[in-house]
Parts: sequence; structure tokens; C-alpha cells
Amino acid sequence: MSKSDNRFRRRNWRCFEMRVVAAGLALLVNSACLYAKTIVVGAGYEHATISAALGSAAAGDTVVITTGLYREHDLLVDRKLTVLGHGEAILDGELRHAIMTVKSDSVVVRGLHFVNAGVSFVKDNAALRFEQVIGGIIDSCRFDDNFFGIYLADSRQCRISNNVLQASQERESHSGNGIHLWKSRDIAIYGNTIVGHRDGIYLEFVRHSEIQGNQSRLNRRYGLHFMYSDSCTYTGNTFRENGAGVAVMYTKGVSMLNNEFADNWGAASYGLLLKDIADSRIAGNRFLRNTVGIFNEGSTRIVVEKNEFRENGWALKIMANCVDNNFTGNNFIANAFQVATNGRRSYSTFAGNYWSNYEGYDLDRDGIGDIPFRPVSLYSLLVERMPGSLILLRSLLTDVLDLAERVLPSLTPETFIDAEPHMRMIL
Amino acid sequence: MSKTSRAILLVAALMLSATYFLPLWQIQLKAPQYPEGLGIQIWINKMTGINEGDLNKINNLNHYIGMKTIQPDSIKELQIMPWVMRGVMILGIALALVARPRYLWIWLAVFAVVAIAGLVDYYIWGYDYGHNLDQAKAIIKVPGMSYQPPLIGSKKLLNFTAISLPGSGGVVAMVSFLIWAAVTWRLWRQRVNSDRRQSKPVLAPIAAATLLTLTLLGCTGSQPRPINYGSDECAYCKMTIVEPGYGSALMTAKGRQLNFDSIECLVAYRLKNQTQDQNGWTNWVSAVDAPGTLYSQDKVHLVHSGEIRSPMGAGLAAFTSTEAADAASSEAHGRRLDWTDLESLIRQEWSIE
Repeated sequence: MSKSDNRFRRRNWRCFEMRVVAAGLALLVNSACLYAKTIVVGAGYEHATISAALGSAAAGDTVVITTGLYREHDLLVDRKLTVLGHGEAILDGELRHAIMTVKSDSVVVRGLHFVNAGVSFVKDNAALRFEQVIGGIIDSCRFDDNFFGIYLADSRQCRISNNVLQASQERESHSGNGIHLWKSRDIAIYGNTIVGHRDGIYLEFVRHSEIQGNQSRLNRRYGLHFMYSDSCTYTGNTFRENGAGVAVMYTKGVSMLNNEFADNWGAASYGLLLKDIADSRIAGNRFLRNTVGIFNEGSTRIVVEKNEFRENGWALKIMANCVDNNFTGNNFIANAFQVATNGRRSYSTFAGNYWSNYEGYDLDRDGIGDIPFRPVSLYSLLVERMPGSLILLRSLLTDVLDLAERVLPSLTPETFIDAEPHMRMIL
Repeated sequence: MSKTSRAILLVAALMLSATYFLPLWQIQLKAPQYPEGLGIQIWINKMTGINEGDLNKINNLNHYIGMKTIQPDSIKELQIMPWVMRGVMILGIALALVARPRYLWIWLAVFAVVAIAGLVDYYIWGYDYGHNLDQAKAIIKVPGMSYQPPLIGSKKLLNFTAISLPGSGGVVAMVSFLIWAAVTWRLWRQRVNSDRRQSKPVLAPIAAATLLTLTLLGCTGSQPRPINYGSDECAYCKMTIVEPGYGSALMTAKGRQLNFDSIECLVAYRLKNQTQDQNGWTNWVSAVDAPGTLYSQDKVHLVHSGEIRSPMGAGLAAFTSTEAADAASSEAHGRRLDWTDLESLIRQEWSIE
């Protein structure tokens, strides 16, 4: 017996062994069937349509959809299946319908290409909807020009990973959200790319979910949008050129770490919009070239540390109704205005930040400036009162005003002060 | 100079503020295939279609003849104009306060220069768009044909009649100029005749003119302008307004307009601002079955349901007909409600005192 033969036999044996294990598992899981079947859909295979395949599949089966254009809609997955795309399997909603709805636990959808889920102003038509399920995976799918892309309602413990969702600019006034979660918990959203939707990722009444490593660009409203969604974390995402980067509203206990908020320019445009939120942490993020880096209204007990604010119009706008916010160890570099406020008092604290326009000195060489820094300039107060005076930006008049105010502070809020401004950038 | 004429001058100068919320000029295009008409309005700081989507339709038509697309953002004058107008107003107020009859001419001269400059500028733009055609892209080519809109009045362009006229804001500005001119002339005559008789009815024509203006304002001021979806911000929740089926607006008695992304935000705003005098405020909402148009609150029928996903999550939608509302509320297991129910609902849901 030759060596290769031997190897072959061994491999065969291993395969057989695997099969026995699989069969045993299948038996355990579902005594009704010995084998999980694989059902293939496509021209020349056992089923020509996806709906026929889904109808004939039993729980535990795998449905493989081969290359082709499937004009099918309102497909229902109501038992535990794995649905895989093989090659280029395109499901087309023809701009009128929802495409696939999953109502069973632990369904896996992978490698499919969904296009043209229809616009409706009464129903939120989605390309792929999970409804009242526990467990489920949506992975490596593509979504083009859908009203809503992925929609989870009333579901738990699902993973949405490595998908690409795009909606075209022509239809943007009618595009819904890319990834939309409603009343769900323990959802992981990893490594997706969302372009051109209304909100890239939208969470409403969501708990304990993690949003990590996604790219959200050119969305009409927000890259990521929280409404009433407590105890979630978003880490390492990039939000570029959206109407506004991220909006967190009416929410408690959010961790926002190591994200990039860039190039959100426009009249109502912010890197990060906080409205009525509490007990949250914003750390290690970069805010680049936004009209306003962080717009902060009605928020309490927020820790903002070790972030970088660079080349924004306003690094921060803090409204007078913000309480107990802590800004520490941040780098404020080359922003037109560092901080603006609409009140006379600050109920937040600044300590140990680096401000690129700090002009103080450090005689005792401890790296901390000897005179406090006032991040709110007189001119920025003026602009807040009379937006028209922005026309005087960088003029001698405003420089003189600011200088006079620095020498004899009288109008800027006296509590808005960083008593320990760093001399060098904080690494 | 008497107190009355000073007051009148002040009013005339202040009337110019109307140009900030009324269109200065409009170009209407009439053709049988557009029974509801098409048109462009030129405001002090922007250009819009008379009806929503008109600008797109016009740009589409223009590409047939090789005309450039009209891009309001590329017109610098629209950014300068608000400041120029502000300057003219401030000058007027200053002159009225200084109250030296001999200086009143200055304002008339400045105003005339600004107005003429504006018209010349409009003519140049029109000429540029009408003559510089991209012959390569044009689908319809008529040798020697140009498509310049008339400066004022009407003109046939192929199968369209283009009518160019001042908008309500432009009319107000003219009236303001005329009032100022009348007062100036009156005072000048007084000085020439140097008779000390009490100035006769300079007031009558001015009162008439003011009344006319106020009626004009009354006609236009109470109608909300369309919401700019995608760029306007909700006055209550700060969210960018993007859903044309839910956008709402509030018109105050003075004609100020506040936009909201949803009915619930409009109601919440009114509840939160009860200390203000809300007499004469009117509510305008969009209907989900006819997105993009603002309807007065008495023209729509409300439905509340947990299955309706309105922008701020209160589950409220408006419909243009009772039938549509009933159908939707039974389909979505909701209920019909009226504006008083609505207030108590939002008060409870969002716990507003």
C-alpha cells in the first residue's frame, strides 16, 4: 500500500469520524432527522425559487443559494436554517417590497446580496428583518439601494458583522436606516460599512449592545444614532462626512471609545451631539474638522478624557444646562474656537488639558502652566449672542478684545477655567 | 422734522426686514403640460422652487436645451445680499434718528443703487444662463435661439411663457422706498415754501401703503415655507429633519417659523413654552400618505399606534383623509385622536409638567 493511499484512507476515516459526530449532534439536537440536509437553489438545481426551498427545508438544514437574480419578496424563514449565498446570489425587492423576514431563533444568513427593498412611508420595509428572535447571525452580506437594510425588532443575542450597505444618493430623500435596531438587547455590530442611508446605525430602546469597528459615511442624518438606548458601547468606529457624526439622545451609560469623528460640516452639523444623556464616558476619540466637535446639551456626569480635538470650528459647545461634566487630559489643537457656551456659569470642570492657544508660562518647569487658561474667549461669547459677528473672525478688533479680556477678565464666565493647562501635548 | 415723519421713516426702514422672510423676485414658467405651473423664487439668501421640486424640474427641462443647471449655492450674491440689505436698513434707521431732512436723499440714492445693481446682476445671470448653452449636450437645438428670462414682464420661450415679477418681499421693499420718497419730498416742499402750516395729509397715502403691505404680509406670512429636508434642524430635539412624512412646523403670530421633525416635537415645544403668549400660533404637519407638504392642523387626521415609527418614537402620524386614517389605525392596531388628546398624551409620555 502506497503512502498516499494510506493518507487518503486516514483522511477518509477522519471525515467519517466527523460525520458520526455531526450525526450524533443532529440526533441530540433534533431527533426527527438524522442528517441536516443541504438544499440548493438555482437554475438546474432541485429548487428554482428560494421560497420553495425555504418551504421544504426542515429545522437544522442549510439552504445554499447559487448565482442568479431572484425576484422574490416577503420570504419567510420560520425555522432554524442556515441560508448561504454561493457565488453572486442577488435577491431583488423591485423597489416595492420587503425581501426576507426571519422569525426563528439561531438563523444564520451569510453571503447574500440584497437589492431594492421598497420605500414605504407606512411600513419600514427592510431587505432583511429579524423579528422576535433569540440568537442569529447576519454576516458578509451586501445591501444595495434598500429602504432599510438590516432591521432587528424585539430580538436578542444577534451578531451583525462584515456587511456592506449602500444606498444611492439619488434616492437619499427616501432612504431609511442602514442597520436599524428597535427594542433589542445584547446585539453585536462589528466591522460593517454603511454608506448613504438616513442614519447609518440606528438604535431605539436598545440595551447592552456593542458597536465596534464599523465605517459609517455619507449618511444623510447621523452615522450612528442612539435614542433611549442605555448601557451600550461603541468602540473604534469611523464616522465621516455624515450630516452629523453621532447623536446620543435621552440615554444613560454609554461608553464611546477610540472612535474617529471627521469632516461633518454644515449648519446643523456636529461630530458628536449629546442631548439629555447621563453617566457616560467619552475617551480616546479623535474629532477632526467638524463644525462642532461635541455639542453638549442637558447632559450630566459625563467624563470626557484623552480625546483629541483638531481643526474644528468649535471644539466644544456646552450649553448652560450641562452639569458635572469632567474634561481632563484632552488635546485641543488649532480649533477656531475652543469652547463656546450660552451661560454665565459652568457646572462642569476642566483640568489638565492641553490648549494650543495657551500663552502662559511655566516657571517651575513642572509641565503645567502657572496661570489658568480660560477656554471661552470673549469673542466666542459674542458670536454665541450675535452669530453675524462671525464675520470679524481673525480681525484685529477681536484679537484686541480677547487680549483685553485675558488681562482683565470681566465678561467671560469666571468658572470656565482650566487651572492646570499642560504646556505640551498630552500623549 | 416732526415726530410723526420720523416715526414713518423708521417704519419705512424697518419694513425692509420683510425681505428676510419673503421672496424678492419670482420667475413663473407656464405651459400646458404643467397645469399647476412651475417657477423659481429668489430670496435674499437663497433660490427655491415655488412648489417643492420645481428647481429640479426646471433643471431637467434646461438640460434639453443645453443650459447649465441652476445651483443656488454657487451664486455668491445670495450670501452678500443679506449683509447689504442689513446695511441699507441700518443706514435708514440712523438717518431717521438723526432726522435731518437734507440727508434723507442719501438713503434714496443708496437704495436706488442697490436695487439697480440687483436688477443688473439678475440680468447678467439670466443672460449667462440663457446664452451660454452647451451645444454638445443640447437635445433640442434651435439655431439662433437664446433662452434668457425677461427682466420684468413676460416672454415666450419655445412652448413656455416665462413671467418675471417682483415677489412679495420685493413689493414691500418698493413700498418702503416710496414711503421714504414721499416723506422726503414733503419735507423738501415744506422747506421750499417755508410755510409753517401744519403738514397736510402726508399720512394718508402712507397709511394706505402700510395697510397694503400689512395685507400682503398677512397673506404670505401665515403660510409656512417648505421644510428643507436634510438640512433644517428640529427646534425641539435638535435632530436634522429628514422624513417628509412627519415634518411639522409652527407659525407664530409674528410670522416666525419653527420647524420640527415630528408632530410630537411640535406639541412638546408648545407645552414647554406655555409661559409665552401663544395666541395666533398655528400648527402645520405633514401627512404620511402625502409626504412633503405641510397641512394646517385642521386638514389632517391623527393616528396613534405603537407600530408607527415616528421620528421621536411617540408613534404619531397624520393622514389627509378620515378613510386613510381609519384604515391605518385598524391596520396598526392604533387609535384615532384629536389635538387635545395629543397634548395630554405627550404630557404623559414625555412627563412634561
